[in-house]
Amino acid sequence: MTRRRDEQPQQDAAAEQFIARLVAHYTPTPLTPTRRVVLDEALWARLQRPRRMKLVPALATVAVGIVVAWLTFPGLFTPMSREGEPRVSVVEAPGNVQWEYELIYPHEFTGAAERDDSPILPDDYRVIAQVFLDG
Amino acid sequence: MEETAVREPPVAEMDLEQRFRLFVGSHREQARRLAWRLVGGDDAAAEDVTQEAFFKAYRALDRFREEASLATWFYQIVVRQAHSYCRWRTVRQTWSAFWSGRTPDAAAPAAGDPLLRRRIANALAQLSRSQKDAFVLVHLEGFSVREAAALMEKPEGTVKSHLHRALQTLRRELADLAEDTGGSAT
Repeated sequence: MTRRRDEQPQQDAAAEQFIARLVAHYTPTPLTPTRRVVLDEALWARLQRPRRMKLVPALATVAVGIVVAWLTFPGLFTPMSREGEPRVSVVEAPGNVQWEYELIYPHEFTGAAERDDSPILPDDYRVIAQVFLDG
Repeated sequence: MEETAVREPPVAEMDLEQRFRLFVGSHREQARRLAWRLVGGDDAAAEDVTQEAFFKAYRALDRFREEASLATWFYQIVVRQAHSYCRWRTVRQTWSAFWSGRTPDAAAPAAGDPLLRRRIANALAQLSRSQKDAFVLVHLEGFSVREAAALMEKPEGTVKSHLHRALQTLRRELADLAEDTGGSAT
């Protein structure tokens, strides 16, 4: 980056003088050797720092953002079915329900008349008796 | 006689870090001077801009395509960084003025005639960004018009036009300096 006069725009003498005066008056004081060393050391210390460290604040910000969004708009994080209704997970298979129903009320399927043993046996024992004695 | 002085390896044998150290050493002063002139004569700001430009250049070295010279590419980063600094300074000054009700002083003191330096900085601030860049790069820093055009990513004719208008404005704003042949205008 050196000045090449043939590539510089041609100015009249007054303009050249004006520019020279600007250059003379609008120039910083040069760096002292001590200051230069300080700046070099600061620059190299910064360059040696692992690049990953720079990502830590960004990742932390993203994590905080997700938590805030989760707390503010919990609906955003609920999986939705195609019709727009929240998905309901099935805890029991329908077959199991039917099987338990038949176990508790066997007379409805066998046609046997229900016996009234309530004064003698508690409810739990009455069901067991129905299964093992009547069946 | 045994040679005791430690010689630096040839540039071709240097690794990236050594070459970049060499580059920093040879361009620090000019980069700082360019930044100083673009940010309006502020020493601390010029140092910040230069450090940031070196840092960004080093981090982006793998993306350097050699479409321009390394120096042109680097000075492009310096100019952009100076613009970025000036933008944020404007924001900071606006906020500061809003809260405190007064406009803070932007330029820092330096050697020489501080009043004249301030006047030149203010006159440069009157120019458009492109005019200021062109004037500082070509007339104050000594880049050729072609180099400045490459750096500013503008055609040479546009840069020449910016230079002409910038010179006209500055001669008008600093008329006493333009007319005074003694060089002691204030």
